[in-house]
Amino acid sequence: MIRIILAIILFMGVLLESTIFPFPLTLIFFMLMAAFWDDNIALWAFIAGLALDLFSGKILGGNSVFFLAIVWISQRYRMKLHPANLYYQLIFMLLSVIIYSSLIYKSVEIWKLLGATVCYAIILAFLRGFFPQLERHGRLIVE
Amino acid sequence: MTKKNPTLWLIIISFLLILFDYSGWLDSFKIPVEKVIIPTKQTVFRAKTALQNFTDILIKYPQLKKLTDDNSRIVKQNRELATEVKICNEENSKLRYQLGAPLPASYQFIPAQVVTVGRFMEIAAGSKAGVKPDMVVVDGKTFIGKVASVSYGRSNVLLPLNTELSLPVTTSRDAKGIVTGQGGGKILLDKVLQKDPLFLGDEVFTSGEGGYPTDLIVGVISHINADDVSTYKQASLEPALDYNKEKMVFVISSL
Repeated sequence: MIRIILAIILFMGVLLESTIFPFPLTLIFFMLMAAFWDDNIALWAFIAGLALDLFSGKILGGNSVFFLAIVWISQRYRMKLHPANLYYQLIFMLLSVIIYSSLIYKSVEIWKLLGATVCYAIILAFLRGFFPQLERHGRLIVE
Repeated sequence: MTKKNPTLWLIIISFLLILFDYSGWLDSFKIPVEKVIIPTKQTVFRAKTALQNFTDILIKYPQLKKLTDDNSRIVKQNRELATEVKICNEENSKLRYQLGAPLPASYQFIPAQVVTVGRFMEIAAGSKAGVKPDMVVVDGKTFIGKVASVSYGRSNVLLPLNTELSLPVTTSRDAKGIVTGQGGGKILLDKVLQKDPLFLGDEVFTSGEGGYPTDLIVGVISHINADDVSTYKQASLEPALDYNKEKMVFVISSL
């Protein structure tokens, strides 16, 4: 159920970003998803990227490549980019958003970045607090 | 590797898609998809605009309310001013008419709005404006009446229709007489000597006796009562104007 809701949020991100709010919302929503969800995340990255390309009227596959690169990095450094590592998560998100904004929107707006970082941190903490079952099983729990 | 991690495969597919899209091979797929995407985006955009308008209205509500109130006030002021302008225009044309009347330059006038016309003509000028009893009231060169009584802000004017008025007059053929009210809304020319000529259509003017100014038009002879036995002749007069239609008159304050 939560996954369906997240998928809807992802689609809303695509719709809002391509229509009224030129900011990497889809990327941020996707990174939130990727932080908690391992199964078929690459496929979701591919689909989300394609949807964003279609809705934005851009070359098909461009966003998919970027999103898949994010997935590859998060899988490569999964221990560091665990949701419990808030600072790493935030730094990774910030870097991704800055690179994406520079490449796609040709501008980086500091206030939007700050807002996105705060929102990302709050949502991450909220999801960890209220939906602990979503976390990848036993990654950081080393007692 | 491919089963466990499809990321690389998907990246390769993505690059292939980029290549195909650049080549234009995906247009046949994109064109029908656009037919769904465009209305969806339009709906979202309209919703955003509606929301923006709504929030704008909410944010600017005090300003809008003030503007609405201001608008109502201005509309009211505009109506009042339009009425005032209309009155001023009427007053102005009357004043021009009065100034253009061939009356002696020494005459000074007090303009007065007509309040009602009944037994007396009630005018909105009293002792405050300098009106005094027995002052003569005119409209242009036409005699309206004589001030009978004065209060602070209003005065009553005795009209030629009133039986209490006794106005020395002369006709356009120099026949002398006295104008007074006949009752029933008629004006009577009385005390005209039998030898003096009276004809229908003769104009009747003030003679200048009894403290009245000279040559003010009173009316026109409309009916003659010929009776050789009587000492004097009489005639009925048609007033020079309809007193009921008067809106503004002038009190001669200085002869």
